[in-house]
Amino acid sequence: MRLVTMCFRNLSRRRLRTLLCVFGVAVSTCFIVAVGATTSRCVTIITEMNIFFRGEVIVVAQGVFVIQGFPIGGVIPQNIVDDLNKMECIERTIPVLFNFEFRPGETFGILPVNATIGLPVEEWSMIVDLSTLKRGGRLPQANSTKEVIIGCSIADQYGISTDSKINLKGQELTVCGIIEGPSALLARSIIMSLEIAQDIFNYPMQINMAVVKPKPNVTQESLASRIEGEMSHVMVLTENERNDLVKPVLEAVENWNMAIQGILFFLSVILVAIVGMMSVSERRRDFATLDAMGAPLSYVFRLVILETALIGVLGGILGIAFGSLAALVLSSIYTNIPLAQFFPSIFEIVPPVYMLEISLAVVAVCCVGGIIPAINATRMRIAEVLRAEY
Amino acid sequence: MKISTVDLTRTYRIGPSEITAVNKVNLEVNKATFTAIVGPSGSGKSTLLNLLGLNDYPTSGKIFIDHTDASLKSGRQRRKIRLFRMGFVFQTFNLLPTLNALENVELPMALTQKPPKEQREKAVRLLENVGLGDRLYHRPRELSVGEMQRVAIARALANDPELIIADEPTGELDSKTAKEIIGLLFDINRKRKTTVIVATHDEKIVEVADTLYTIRDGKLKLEN
Repeated sequence: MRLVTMCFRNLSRRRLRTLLCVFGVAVSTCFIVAVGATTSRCVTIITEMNIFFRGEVIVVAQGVFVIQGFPIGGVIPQNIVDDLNKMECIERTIPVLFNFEFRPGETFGILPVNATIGLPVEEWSMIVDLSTLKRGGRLPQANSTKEVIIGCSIADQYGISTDSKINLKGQELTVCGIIEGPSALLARSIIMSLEIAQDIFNYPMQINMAVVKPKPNVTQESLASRIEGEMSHVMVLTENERNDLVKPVLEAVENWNMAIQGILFFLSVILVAIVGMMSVSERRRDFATLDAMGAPLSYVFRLVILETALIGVLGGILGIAFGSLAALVLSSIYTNIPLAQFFPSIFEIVPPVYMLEISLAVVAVCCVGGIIPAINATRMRIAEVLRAEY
Repeated sequence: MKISTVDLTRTYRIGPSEITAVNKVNLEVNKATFTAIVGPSGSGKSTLLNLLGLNDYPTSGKIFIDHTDASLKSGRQRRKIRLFRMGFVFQTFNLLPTLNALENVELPMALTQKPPKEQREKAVRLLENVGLGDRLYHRPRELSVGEMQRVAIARALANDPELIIADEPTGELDSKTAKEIIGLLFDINRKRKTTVIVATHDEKIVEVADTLYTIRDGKLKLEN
């Protein structure tokens, strides 16, 4: 008789209790997956923003909130670029108007609906690589201010293809390329010329950041202090400073995530241990009979642990399924992107490796919960059980 | 299997008082004999059987199995002896409720890692021998008490034990079924040359036993 079959039958002896226990483990797993996937997606987006502007310093308005080099609001006059270019330690300066667009009526959400990046047409290669464009896509022609490149998520949502015409706040624009890379930020981005961005968002002759490339022998730190020494009302951030700005935020998110996971796993251990103890206590005679038959202690131990592990497997599968669905719903709510559009990318939001990690962790947690009941089961002696019964 | 004891004693502490369930018992059970231990409830029969079956540790005294002191053996060695050399039949059958008759009989063989095919064939044969060839796939709750005790006997025989210890095997049965079970145990003793020790109130068992002991207040006395 296979041990697994025996365990299934033992669990099915108390169906309601087993189902409630599986449900409890599934609810914990569901929360872990939903919270974990949603927060790690935010962290991933923030982290991947770090790939932009490597080796460059950025100049933004003083006191503005910056995430990995992308400012939220704040403006500086565009002529600052000319002033910067006059400094001998600077190789070049690129003006950028970057805008996170949140859901209508909301000043701030967890995730923006999309991002628009306005920068001179000849500098688009700084953000988008030709190889990441869908087939048929291209970078805009020189001096073209009516062409845009959009992210694949926006294209899918609105059924836009290369060479489609789109109307953006009264401006008719041509989509010359669709970004198909793994970047979640770029998937929701619209890249346009600086002039169009200034026109659409009503920032005439204004930008909100300038990306400054230092000359080869100039360090980012010395360049930043020189700019801040010569210009007032601006903040200059080196790569290290930008990382340091988000580091505490990312660490806090990570710590909260760990804390939530820890609490839920701990509750699962207690739940499984209680149910396991009840089950062992009800089956004292069975375990004592196994002992009288000469069953090795390892056999009895395995029997109980396998039962709790099966609860973990069932709870884990249900929890991951519902948790993944919840993560999709949360992403849809926070981004205003239709839920159906998230389904094909379910494994990007809840990566298979993460699913595997969580399912293994849930099974391990349930096995830990089964240790005390299993030890109790190995201590059942027929002499004591029979003496207690008569 | 020959089993003997020297001054075997087992005491329990219940609250402030100490109860001597088995008091300096000297017993000798020879190979392939049918031994009955008779005594009233609470006289120490079950405690003595648990000690003989290595399910319990004596407070003092010794148990010899084939001239080897078994009271000194570790828990692991005792389990090994129980698994390979002994079979148990309980008054309340103690069948595992989630397993059917066949699986209950297969279980001791599975614990010795016998191949599944061999387990199945032998379990079927044993159940047919105790007259349950048509009840193989019935779970304990679908069997009568007599049938459950037959399954328990078949299970006790699964690993071809040298000794069968039966604790009031007819205690829960009507007189007709009890007679059948006694006949079955007697047949096992005679045909397989298996040593059988039975604790009982049942007069019919006393009649067929080769050796009869009586026990009262933990003290054992040889009657014939």
